[in-house]
Amino acid sequence: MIAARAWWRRAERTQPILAAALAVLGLMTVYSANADWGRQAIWVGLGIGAYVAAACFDYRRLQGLMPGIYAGMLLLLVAVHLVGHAALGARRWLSVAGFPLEPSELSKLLFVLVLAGLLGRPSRLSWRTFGLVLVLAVAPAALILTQPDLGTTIVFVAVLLGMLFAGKARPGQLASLAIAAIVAIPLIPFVLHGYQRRRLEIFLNPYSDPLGAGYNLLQARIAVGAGGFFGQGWLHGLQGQLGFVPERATDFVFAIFAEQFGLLGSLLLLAIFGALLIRLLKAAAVAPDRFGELIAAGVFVMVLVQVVENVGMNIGLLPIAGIPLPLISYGGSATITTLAALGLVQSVVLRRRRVVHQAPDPVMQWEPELERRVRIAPTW
Amino acid sequence: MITGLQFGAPNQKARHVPGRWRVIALLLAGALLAGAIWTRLAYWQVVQHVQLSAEAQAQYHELVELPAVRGSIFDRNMRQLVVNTTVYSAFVSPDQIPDNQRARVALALGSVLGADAGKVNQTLASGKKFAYIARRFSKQKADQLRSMLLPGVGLEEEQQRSYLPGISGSSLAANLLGFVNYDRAGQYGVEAYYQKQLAGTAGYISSYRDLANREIVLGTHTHQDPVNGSDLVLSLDSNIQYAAEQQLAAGVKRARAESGSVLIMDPKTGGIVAWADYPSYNANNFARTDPGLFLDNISSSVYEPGSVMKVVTLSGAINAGAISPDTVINDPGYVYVGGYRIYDWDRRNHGTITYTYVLAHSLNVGAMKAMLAEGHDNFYKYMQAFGLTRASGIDVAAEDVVPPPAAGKMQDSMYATAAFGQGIDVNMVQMLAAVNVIANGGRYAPPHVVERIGNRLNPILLAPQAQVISAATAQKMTAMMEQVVQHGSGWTSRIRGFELDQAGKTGTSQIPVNGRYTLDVWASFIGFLPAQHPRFTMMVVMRKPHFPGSDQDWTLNDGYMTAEPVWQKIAQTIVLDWRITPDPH
Repeated sequence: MIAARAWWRRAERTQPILAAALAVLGLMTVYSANADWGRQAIWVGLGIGAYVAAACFDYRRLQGLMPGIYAGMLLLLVAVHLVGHAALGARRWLSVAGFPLEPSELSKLLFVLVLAGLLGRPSRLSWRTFGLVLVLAVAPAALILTQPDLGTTIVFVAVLLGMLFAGKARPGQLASLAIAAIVAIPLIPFVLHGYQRRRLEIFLNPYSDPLGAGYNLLQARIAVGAGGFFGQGWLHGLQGQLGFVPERATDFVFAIFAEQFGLLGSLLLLAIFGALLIRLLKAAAVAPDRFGELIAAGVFVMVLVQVVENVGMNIGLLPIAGIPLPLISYGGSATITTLAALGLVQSVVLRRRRVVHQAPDPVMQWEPELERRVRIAPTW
Repeated sequence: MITGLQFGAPNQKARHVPGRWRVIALLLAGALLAGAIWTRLAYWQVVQHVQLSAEAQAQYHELVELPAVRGSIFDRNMRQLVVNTTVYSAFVSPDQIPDNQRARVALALGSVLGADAGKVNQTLASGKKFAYIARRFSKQKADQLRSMLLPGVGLEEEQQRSYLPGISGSSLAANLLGFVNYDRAGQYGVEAYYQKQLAGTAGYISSYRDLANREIVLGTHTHQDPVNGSDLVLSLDSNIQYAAEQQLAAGVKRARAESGSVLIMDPKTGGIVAWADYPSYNANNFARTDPGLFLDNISSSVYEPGSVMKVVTLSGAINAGAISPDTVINDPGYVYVGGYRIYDWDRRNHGTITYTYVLAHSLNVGAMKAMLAEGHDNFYKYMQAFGLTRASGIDVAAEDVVPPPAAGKMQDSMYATAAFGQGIDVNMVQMLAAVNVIANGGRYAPPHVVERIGNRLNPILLAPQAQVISAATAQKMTAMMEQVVQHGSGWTSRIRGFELDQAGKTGTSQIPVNGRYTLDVWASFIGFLPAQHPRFTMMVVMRKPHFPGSDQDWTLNDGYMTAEPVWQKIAQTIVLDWRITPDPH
């Protein structure tokens, strides 16, 4: 056990500061959206607890728990189908001690862990393991897609691809995936639900139905545009305040953020996300082992995909899919999961090898790879 | 099945090579996505900002205008010349009228509004959202329609200006007042010139509505009361105006002229007492009036004043000390100027005569000699002082001015003809204000129509009047102009009892077309009364008169046959109406 002070010195401090900044902006935006910001604040508090717990917990001990984690994830997702609550046409919520829990949010992190465990072997990825990974990924993805929850499914696919990529999949394996994807694209319209297909059409031409299916997209666009360069000011974004932007605390939270804080605020928000993502990548770079590296990379992809898809759909760059903006959108499961994931990456960073600042000593030269590690490892 | 899987074993000792390029590739992918997002954000928030803001405003912002009441216009006796009335327009929303009601609605609209039933039926069948059936009808018809409870038929209130009736279908002082168009903008005349003061400032109620269409109170400044327009009090006398219009119409018809104008001024203040044009129009019916009639001949068109100008020429020369009314000159009937031989109107040798005789008999040679006696520079200086080289500044829209060339650029022949009022262009307001200097003891009274704006005096009345010529000169010129009435061309203007108390001057000038003078003339008479204590200065202009018999003798078209009788009749009315008595002798 490392002493508390040593922990503090080893800890990566920028990452939690960035996360805290996002959480504060998130609370402000949720407040401006007339959503229950007190509840969101409680969830942020719980999330901070989860963060600290995850950071203290030695992530390496998770490796042995992988089968259990996978089984638990499947169990949760199946439970949603059996006893979940439906809202807005989808069955996504479980009631846990009176609190609504959205297992698909939690499953994002669990999926990262499972993949990290599977791919975390030192050697190159064998075709056998590759196939196994795909098979294991299909079950949860299918359960989520049928909730239906297209957004989380997209996150799953992105995390899978990103982690295969970071997890030393062979070029042939990546190529086979690419071929499969090309083959699958024409099949997408058949897999999608009617409303999802409609969203795609609307994405291509929002003015075809401005008061119906295109309404969300157009209202979000109007809010973003009305923000202008400097924004209308906090609590002064009328488009959001008067309720024209739908789902303004969750899926379209970025639109009302952009209306209030303008291009300047939006770029600042994206810069904070960018800095956070870079810290996650660096965490992957200093990780002491493959498992830790893949956890960091997986969380990186998880956050990146959610930010890109949420912002992208808010500004009409991507089709609409229900994905929250991490730490900004209203929602307990997503907030706690994201903070726990960041805590887990902190746990990886805390357990990195000691960084050597002086000239390589003779012992290091015995271990040429270790020397290289030192050269790569940035100072924190 | 899961137990059979082999998850990655915790193997601390195993060295692993970090996939560095893969990390960089991920970073690059992130940067690329970020770039796309930034570009798109900048596009919506900067390039499309104005457009999208407008769309946002349109969704939740509602601005209800509270129209200001337009100011009224009164004459000098506080008689109201313009009344604001409420009129109604009927519109239909065809998509809200059930098919089985259409016939009833069409029939009712047809019978009450006199609309063509076929057309109404066509409109009703169109399925449009909005269409006007009839505009600007009376309250009586509106009440009738309202009582019928027709589905999909609405009434819209609008304000309309109603002007007093004048003679033969036109409205009183139409060319002076102008009118207000359907967009509440004053057109022509006083309505246009004082648009800002008359219109006032509209107020508004600004409200925001949320998605559920509930009104939301935002901000503090959501209600602004309208500021009503100011009333105007004119120097106009509506009785005199009416008489002027009446006599002018009769005179124009008698002289078979193309048109005519009368302008009467208060000599002391420069306030306009009457401003009559014939033909005129009905401002209450401006929408169906030939726009050519809106043009006002008094201030918006220029003419060559002719012999009336001699008043200015001789006054200047007397004031400069170059001549006196009794100075004797020789007038052989013509004079050579700049290689041209310029004749008197009768081309007769008048021998040795005085300047008083020159004015009484309107002799061009005399006027030119007076001009030459004082010199070009003096002459030009007095033209300026009498206000003939600049706009009169009359507070009526669209004054037209054609200033003469600069003093140094005028040729000798131009000075010569200007001395008797040909070859220079003035408008009637300029000319009347110039001659009024004589009536006003040598002071220039700036012409104006409006005495009061709201409760504020027209500032022009408070400014001191410029002394153009000395009171003594004005007195001499008055005496000369009295001679015009007593012994000269002014004889047809005589009013019983005032024969010795009238001052006047005729003018007749040929109308140039494309640089050549035609046989058509502007005939005018200008005069004031009583001569020693003038109560009014009046000018009458007839354009292109064709007096019976004038094809044999074109002098029948002169001012004394066409303009003067009109002057005489109007002056008669003023004398009675204002109870003017002759000066004691």
